[in-house]
Amino acid sequence: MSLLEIRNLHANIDGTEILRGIDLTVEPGAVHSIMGPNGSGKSTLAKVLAGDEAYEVTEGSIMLNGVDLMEMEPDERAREGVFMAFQYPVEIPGVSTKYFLRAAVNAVLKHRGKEELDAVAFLKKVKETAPTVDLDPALLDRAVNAGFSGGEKKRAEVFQMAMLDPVMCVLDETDSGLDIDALRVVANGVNALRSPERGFLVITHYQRLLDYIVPDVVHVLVDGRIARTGGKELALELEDKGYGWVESDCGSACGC
Amino acid sequence: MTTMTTFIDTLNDTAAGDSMRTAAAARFAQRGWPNRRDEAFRYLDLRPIKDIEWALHGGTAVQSPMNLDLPGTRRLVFTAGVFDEAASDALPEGVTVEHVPTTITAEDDQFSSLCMAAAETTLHVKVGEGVTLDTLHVIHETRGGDVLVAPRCVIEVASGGTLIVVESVTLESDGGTVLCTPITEIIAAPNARVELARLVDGDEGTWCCGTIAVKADNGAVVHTSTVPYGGAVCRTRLESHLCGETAHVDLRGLAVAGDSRHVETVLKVRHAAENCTSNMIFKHVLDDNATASFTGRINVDEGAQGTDAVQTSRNMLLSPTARAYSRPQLEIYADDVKCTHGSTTGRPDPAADFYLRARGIDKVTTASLLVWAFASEVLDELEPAALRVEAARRLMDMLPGGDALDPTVVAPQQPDTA
Ligand SMILES: Nc1ncnc2c1ncn2[C@@H]1O[C@H](COP(=O)(O)OP(=O)(O)OP(=O)(O)O)[C@@H](O)[C@H]1O
Ligand SMILES: [Mg+2]
Repeated sequence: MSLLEIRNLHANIDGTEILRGIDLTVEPGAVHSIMGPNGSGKSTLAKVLAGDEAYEVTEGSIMLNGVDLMEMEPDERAREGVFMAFQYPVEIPGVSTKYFLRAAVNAVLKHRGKEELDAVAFLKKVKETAPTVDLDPALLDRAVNAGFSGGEKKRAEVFQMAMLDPVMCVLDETDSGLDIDALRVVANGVNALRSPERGFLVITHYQRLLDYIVPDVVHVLVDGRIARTGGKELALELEDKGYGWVESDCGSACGC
Repeated sequence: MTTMTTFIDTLNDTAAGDSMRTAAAARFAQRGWPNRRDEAFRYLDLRPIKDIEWALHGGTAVQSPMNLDLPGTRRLVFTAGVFDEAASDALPEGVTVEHVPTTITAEDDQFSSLCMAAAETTLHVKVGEGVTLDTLHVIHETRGGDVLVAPRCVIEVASGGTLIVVESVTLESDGGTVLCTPITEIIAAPNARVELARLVDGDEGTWCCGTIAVKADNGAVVHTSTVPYGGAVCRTRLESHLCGETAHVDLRGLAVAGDSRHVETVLKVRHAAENCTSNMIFKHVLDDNATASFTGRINVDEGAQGTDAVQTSRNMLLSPTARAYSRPQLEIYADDVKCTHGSTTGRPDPAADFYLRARGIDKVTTASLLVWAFASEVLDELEPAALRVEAARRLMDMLPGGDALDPTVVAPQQPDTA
């Protein structure tokens, strides 16, 4: 059984159709990358997978390990194991990161029928996990993302991902805003999470990230459809020729 | 005889022999109950209480006291308006319960006239020069039907003195209405520092219509916070007079209200000296048919150069039938002045909601966390520190699923302790 199976997915926001028929299958253990021009719908796809109610899904289906996600609320999907690292993590002043994350971790554990973590066990897990993405644990005493630098926000997203032990990880431009060293650290953090059961959907504009997180499959999203799918060499080709090449090329190939 | 004339007679009878009280009764008699044509009472419907035959004082202890756990504070308990010596800690030096009410210097309105006419005692707190008094926790608890309680407190802090006061008012209606009209007056001498928090709890038959009046001299710093948790109506009139250079006041308020509750703040800050600063932040979270009104008036006198006044009112609406009214009013007669005011009203941020839920936190807990996040800006500033936890705990108890939130860890650490 596939880990993630997206069939003919159409989604609107405020009456505008953004996703116009996406088909995509991620096998357990696989890393897929999605590239594509600004505004092509990459973040929309990520948010629709995570269940953002701002979008209306008009057609299609999303299955995770054979379970239909479509009727599930965002929190139910997260507890089922979907994790989306936000392109723009939201600042929530007044709520401590530590508190929020413990509530999240325990919600997931409870759903899986596992024992919830008390304060001590939680801190232990934090101490083990923070170094894997080189995250300053002092950030966790602050409010959720509040006043974090761009890079700190991205690291914090990967840190949350590691803490929550998801099965399907969607990373939306986690590399943008990171300096070269941070990029390597974050990529290593992601690679450390690679496992035979877990799948990744890595959205990026830069081939550079894919040097570190080597994808099995690369998709190019154009205008709400997957215009091209290939191996990791597709990313290199794109870097070389730009999106214009895909767009013109797909004119006959997919009829978009 | 009408209810009103009977009531005035009762007021006059109890005030007889005390010229300050009879004068206050006369002022009330002359103006009568406020009505909506009165600018300051535009959003308050007083019809439910106008025709009540009030008993002055009376009533009993409440059945569910607020029970704030504030270690190291002196508890002074007033039950049904009467000082309960047995239930109180010893009065520290400088603190007296006086049977002759002191005159207040602040401007009067109908409710404060009423209070001054009806009050039999005043809690008088005097803090000497450079003295830091123990934190006082003044507890007012009244349960009754158609009873009027009129707590009075006058706080005078001499130069360089410091004081923190927590007032907790718990009202319970028992087959009628309870009206409480507390007046607290703070007179801060040069460089004095005073913190006052007033927490009010009540039910659908209780009204709390009170006044807090502040006078701040050179370099004095006064902070007040008003947190109405419950009661049909909670109205606070805040009068601040910055009369000495570089004086500073911080006035904050937070209310989380549902049902048909009404919360209102009528605030006036007068900058009468140079280089004074004032900071006002009032937040309301409104559910069901609750309403909130905020009127914030800033007066800058001629010659009060260098004034810096910042006023903010924010409303979070959780239901389409909740209403918030916000009226800033500026009257400025000096030219080198910075006065800003901002007001926002809206629903909880859907982006924040999605972010928390996308991490697995359920809908109800997320909603409560977002209310908490909105409210914490006011609660985080409460003094003493133990009050922050207590006030947070009470707030969380009111929120759906809030009992699962832990007030000791949900707040981010303050930068000074981080
Ligand atoms: N509320 C809205 N109403 C109409 N169009 C919208 C709305 N919100 C987003 N869009 C549009 O949806 C399209 C897809 O946006 P999306 O964020 O998914 O793009 P993206 O591929 O992630 O782009 P980027 O590479 O810049 O991150 C954009 O054209 C955007 O303007
Ligand atoms: Mg995007």
